[in-house]
Amino acid sequence: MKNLPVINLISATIIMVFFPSCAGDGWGLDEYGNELDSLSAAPSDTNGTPPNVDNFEIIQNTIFNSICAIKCHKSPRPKKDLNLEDGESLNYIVNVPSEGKPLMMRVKPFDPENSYLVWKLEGRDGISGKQMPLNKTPLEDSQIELIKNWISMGALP
Amino acid sequence: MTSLFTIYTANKYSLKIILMAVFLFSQLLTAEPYIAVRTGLKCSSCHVNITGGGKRTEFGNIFIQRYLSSNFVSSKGNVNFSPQLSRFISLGGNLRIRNTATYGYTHTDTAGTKTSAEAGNFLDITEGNIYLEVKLITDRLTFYIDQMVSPNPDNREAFGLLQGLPGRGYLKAGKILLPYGYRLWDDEIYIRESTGFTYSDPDIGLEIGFEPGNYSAVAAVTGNQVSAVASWVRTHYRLGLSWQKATDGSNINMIGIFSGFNAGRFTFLGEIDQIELAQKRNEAYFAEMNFLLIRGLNFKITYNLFNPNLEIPLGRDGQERITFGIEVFPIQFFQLALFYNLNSFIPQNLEFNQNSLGFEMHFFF
Repeated sequence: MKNLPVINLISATIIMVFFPSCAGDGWGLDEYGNELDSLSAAPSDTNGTPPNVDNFEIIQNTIFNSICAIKCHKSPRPKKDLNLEDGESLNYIVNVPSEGKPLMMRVKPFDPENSYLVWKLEGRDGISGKQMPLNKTPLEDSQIELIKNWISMGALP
Repeated sequence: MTSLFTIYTANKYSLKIILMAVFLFSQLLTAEPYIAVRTGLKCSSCHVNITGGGKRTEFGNIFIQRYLSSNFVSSKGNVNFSPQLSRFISLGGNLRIRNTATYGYTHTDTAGTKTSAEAGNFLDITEGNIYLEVKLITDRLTFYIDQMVSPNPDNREAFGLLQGLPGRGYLKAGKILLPYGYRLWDDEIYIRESTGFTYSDPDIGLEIGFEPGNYSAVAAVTGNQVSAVASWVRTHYRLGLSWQKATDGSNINMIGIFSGFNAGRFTFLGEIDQIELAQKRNEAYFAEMNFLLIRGLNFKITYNLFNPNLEIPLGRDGQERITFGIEVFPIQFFQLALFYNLNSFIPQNLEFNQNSLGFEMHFFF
């Protein structure tokens, strides 16, 4: 036992010397660490309707980027496996089963009342966990309306 | 579930993974849990919450006054402070104020285009909590509240605790922090952030635990998951297993191992977790070395590694953080800490390559 502190110190030094090169070189990845060629496109518009770019861009920029993806719903460890970063969010919400209520989609196109994202933002009865954003002021009604409208229009990219 | 400690023999980092495993297992090596490992005590010796964190017990309060700090500043009459309002009701609290300076980072891509993250400075209250413990029946029935008052008012825990079951067992019901791995105070450490078992993720459920002799086994059930921790605690070392399974149909499952070892002035902690998500699996690693120079002065080195996707070699998407820190307890109920975080992630991600320097003041009782 007498030599253990020395052995441990040597072990720790070895770890510290060897490990600090483990950060990825990022080859073939986007800035969040996802494979560039696996970045699936957002749900396609099967009805031939022109995508409502402005609507979703506003949501992404003013809500997801500004509130949700600052600390929690972001790579590389998005909370509840829900990444709301720019370029990622649609893949994680549209027609993706929610964790809190797996029978509900996070976003069900054309159906905001049955989209779990809306339930969580409004803090409705029946949600798992707390109203989002966690420990922050709830979104303004106009912001939630924007999301509901976007879903009503088909949740297009 | 695939074997926890997958060795990536196909890439050049195999040796490092093996070394990490050696570090953890061969010497049983393994945040405030380092104090428990250093003293050889269970979390429940110093905390009312048997799985750790929150309000201190009467023993815990004596410990922080007489053994944790380098100096004891006596009040009139040389008596210890007592947080007890009455024989049955007592309070506790934690207040952490932190200033973090982040350094700028510039990335130049293959086309020669430069992108930068600006340096910044942030002053935050990272923890402001008040605890209330009511001993309805001493050592048998306790009412407990952990209330966050800053930065945002919110309830963290509220439970009833029934003790005195066979096998030194207990039953806890209410809003609780679920058991899993080391309960480190920093929620942003990869093993906590990636598993979701943090101070900001309490849930409503039931917890049952047994602590016979050197053993401890705890399991908790909520509306959407089950988690359990089993550990073996000896004076100089400890070893534990953690497990979690979602019960709501989502495919989120976790398994982890943690250990701790104390040798003289050195204290080591370690934990590895594998997290299975619906679309991918990832792993988080944690190793910490503490050196107690003199009573009340602790040096700390922490190594954090995160493999975001086991399908992608670690050499392409690995993330790591090394923290060098000094913690000082100059007088009882007061801690100063200075930490430098060396962050590394894929070079095109600006934010996670910014190093930072943190200074923290911590008041607690």
